[in-house]
Amino acid sequence: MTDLLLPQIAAGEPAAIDKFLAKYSSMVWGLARRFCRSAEDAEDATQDIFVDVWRSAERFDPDAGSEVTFLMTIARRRLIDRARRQGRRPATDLLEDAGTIAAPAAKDHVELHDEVQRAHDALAQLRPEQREVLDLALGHGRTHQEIAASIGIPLGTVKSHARRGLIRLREMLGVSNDDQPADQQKGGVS
Amino acid sequence: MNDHLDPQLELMLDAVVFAHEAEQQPRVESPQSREFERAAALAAAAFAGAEEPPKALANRLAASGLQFCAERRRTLANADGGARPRLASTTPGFVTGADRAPRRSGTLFGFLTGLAAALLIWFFATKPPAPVDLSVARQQLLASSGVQQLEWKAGPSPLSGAVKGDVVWSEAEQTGYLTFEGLPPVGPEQRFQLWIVDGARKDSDPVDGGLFAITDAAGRTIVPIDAKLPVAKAAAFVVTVEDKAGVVVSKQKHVVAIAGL
Repeated sequence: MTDLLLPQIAAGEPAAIDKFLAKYSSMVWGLARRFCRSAEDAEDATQDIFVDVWRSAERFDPDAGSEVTFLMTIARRRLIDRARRQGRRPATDLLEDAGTIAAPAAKDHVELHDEVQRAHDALAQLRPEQREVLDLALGHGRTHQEIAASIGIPLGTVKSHARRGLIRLREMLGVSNDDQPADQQKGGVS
Repeated sequence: MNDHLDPQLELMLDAVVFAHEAEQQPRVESPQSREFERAAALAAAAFAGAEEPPKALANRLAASGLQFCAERRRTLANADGGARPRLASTTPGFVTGADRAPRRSGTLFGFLTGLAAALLIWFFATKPPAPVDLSVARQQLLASSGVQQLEWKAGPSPLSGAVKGDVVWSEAEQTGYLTFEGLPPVGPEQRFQLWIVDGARKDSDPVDGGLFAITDAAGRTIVPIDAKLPVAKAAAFVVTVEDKAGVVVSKQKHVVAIAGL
């Protein structure tokens, strides 16, 4: 079993910071790069995410979920907050944002953490159209209108694929009813 | 397959998957919605994969983490041995005395309360300032622009051991930090001395960068640079072993580490 780093960070152990960043910063940066409209915005978002993680570290409960789930829930929430504050991007921005679109496909990833690997395997079992919609929505922060426009399907179909895909994904990941949300362990974060 | 889902479930799923849309209603907190959110977070991680962050960002992340740890340690130390326990120890019998007998007058209570407040103020006023965390300061400097970072190479002296580490130097700030690992400590009558070769003073001796000691060869030691003169263009950093009082000009008998040449 690997040593848990968040309790060490909560105790103010500087050595845990290096280890935590070595283990997870590339994953958060990868998501921020895909989610944000510019590299500068992604850098700001990544910094906000980790500041939030440091402050929330004492709330981490290993019995309620893994470190990677705790981290990625916070990461996704912070990215969602930023996207909502900035409003929806015009479609023309997306065309110029080729670097973000061209991020590597999930199947090319190496050294995924166990839980992320399970999610990766589960996503591979979804119908291609469900996986594509979830990739654009969850992995790139695209709106359902943007997704509909980019892959040429009706808005309702985008939502239908997203809903069915997420239901199936949750089933395959076997998320328990008893699990606490990673970001709400021991009091939660906003 | 039934094409229709429960409308409430549809709203919940939309609130999770399209939470980033400004028009989307926020997710209603429930065990089921948390399950979907967790699955979405893991899916996002799987889609994102790994991409090395830029070096400047990595430095800022490390600086923020180390800053947090420094503040956290101070908070925990204050909680363990802070004002309240110290106050109690300097006012023995205050609580037990009040509990044992009814308060005789508001004046006495007010006096004791005032005394306690005065002691509290005295404690914080005389408390020494928290030491500077050199790791944090180094990371913060690294995160600023125009900073040089040079790796140490072992010098020709056998005293250099297996020295590793780097020099971080800001010309704009005229400050910097040396990091050492594997540099063996020297005897009690000796010290390490840093020399900064200034490329703008080609005919001058190197600038004295300060004396320091290493006490732990196995660990990591960070030393602040103490340049005695302004350095216009730092070209190299050299560490020698000298007498414990230091020298004005080194004979370079024992050069243990070099960076930038």
